Amino acid sequence: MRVNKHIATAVLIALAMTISLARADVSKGEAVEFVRQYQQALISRDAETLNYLIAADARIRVELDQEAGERQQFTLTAQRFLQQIRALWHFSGDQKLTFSGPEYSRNTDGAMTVTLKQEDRRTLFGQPTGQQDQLTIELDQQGGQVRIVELHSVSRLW
Amino acid sequence: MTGYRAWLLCLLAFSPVAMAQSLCVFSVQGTQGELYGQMKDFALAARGWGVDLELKAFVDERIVSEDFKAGQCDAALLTGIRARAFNPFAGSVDAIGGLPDYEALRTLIALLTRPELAPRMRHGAYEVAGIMPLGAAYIFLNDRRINSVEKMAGKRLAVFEHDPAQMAMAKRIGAQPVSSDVSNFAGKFNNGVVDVIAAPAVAYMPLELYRGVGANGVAVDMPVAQLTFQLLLRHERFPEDFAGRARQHFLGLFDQAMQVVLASESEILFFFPPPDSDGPRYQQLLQDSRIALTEQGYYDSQMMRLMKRVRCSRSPDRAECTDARE
Repeated sequence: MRVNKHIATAVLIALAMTISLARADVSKGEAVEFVRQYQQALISRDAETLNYLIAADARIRVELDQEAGERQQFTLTAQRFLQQIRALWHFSGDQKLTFSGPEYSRNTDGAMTVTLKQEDRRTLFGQPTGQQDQLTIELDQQGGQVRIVELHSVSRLW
Repeated sequence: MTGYRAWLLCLLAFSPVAMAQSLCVFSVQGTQGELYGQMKDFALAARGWGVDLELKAFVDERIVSEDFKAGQCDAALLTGIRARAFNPFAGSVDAIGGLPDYEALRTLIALLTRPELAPRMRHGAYEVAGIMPLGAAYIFLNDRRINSVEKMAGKRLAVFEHDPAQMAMAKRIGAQPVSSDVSNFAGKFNNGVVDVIAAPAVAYMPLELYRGVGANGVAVDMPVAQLTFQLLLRHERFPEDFAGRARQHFLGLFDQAMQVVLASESEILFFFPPPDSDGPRYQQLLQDSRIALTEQGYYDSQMMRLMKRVRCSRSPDRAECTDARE
């Protein structure tokens, strides 16, 4: 009787641990809503929301297309990535952002990968300039919220 | 009574604290800005230690240095690069690639306030009585296509005429050095006279370096050197315990100074780290340059060893921690 009780307790503890360790998947609906918020934050220059949407320890890789087909990769902290967006907002004007084709695919670990194109046309120091980014974003649950945990951008600036 | 007054007058005439001591402050913003405010606070603290400091602001660092050397200033606040001429040990804190981050700088400055290192802070008639961060020097380029050390060859690089280390560095990477000073290097960059400069973030907005970087340039997010402000004294004109107290006071200014530095760094546009493929090569270049400059006598070898100790105590995995090059 006593042995059975111990076994039952052990099973319950194991079950509780499994439940607490299990990570909630990111649903398609959550990912769609996330992308909407992300785009809106960029359009409205809402630094606070953007900061909230990107995990503090997110891994950010930017592959910059240079002239003559040369491509260089930079690894940035989330903090530096966000700082660059804010600095760009500070110095640029007439910003026009367009987004196309968010595509969603579920990873085996429950995270969601989103690919989309982003084009930013702006005036910088009196010059018409811009940048085009092919983004691959990995969304995952962090602290009960969907956040960008990895971002890879193939970017071209002009 | 007459005898007492004569005695008092004699005392006032010979006492080092009887008259106000002049502190000549190099400040690009003159009497405006955070730095001068910090020096006013320091003067208040000094009064509590029996020293009456009279502050004089100068926007030209060369004049401060020359006046201090000529004895017209009892104390001077100079950049570490300029202070190196008065104290090679402390002046070498600003060495190329010397410290990788601000926490390492904090550790080093704290070490330098220790009484056992006080003799090293004195060099002839001069003593370094305080060090505070001015911010890391970063490379600013007017063209993103200059994306490797090799592509710096032939580019025009502003170098400070009072810092032979910068000239040597320019030659090492094959850049074309253009002699400059604090008052004109930004103008040369913004007007396209030079392609590359090294500057701290605090210069970015006041000197409008974003104009030089423009829409096609880049700022490299990798500290080339940790720049500092250093308080120099003609120590015989101050009480014996003044420098030690001042060093402690300056250590207490670290966080306040860093707030200004970090706020300035948050304003820089196109602020990218080196490409992933080049980061280790850049670090190697800085290390090799620093070692060569030490061998040539530009940097103090004891300070280089101390800085290596700081680097290796914080990151024992660094390759240099197992070699004896420094």
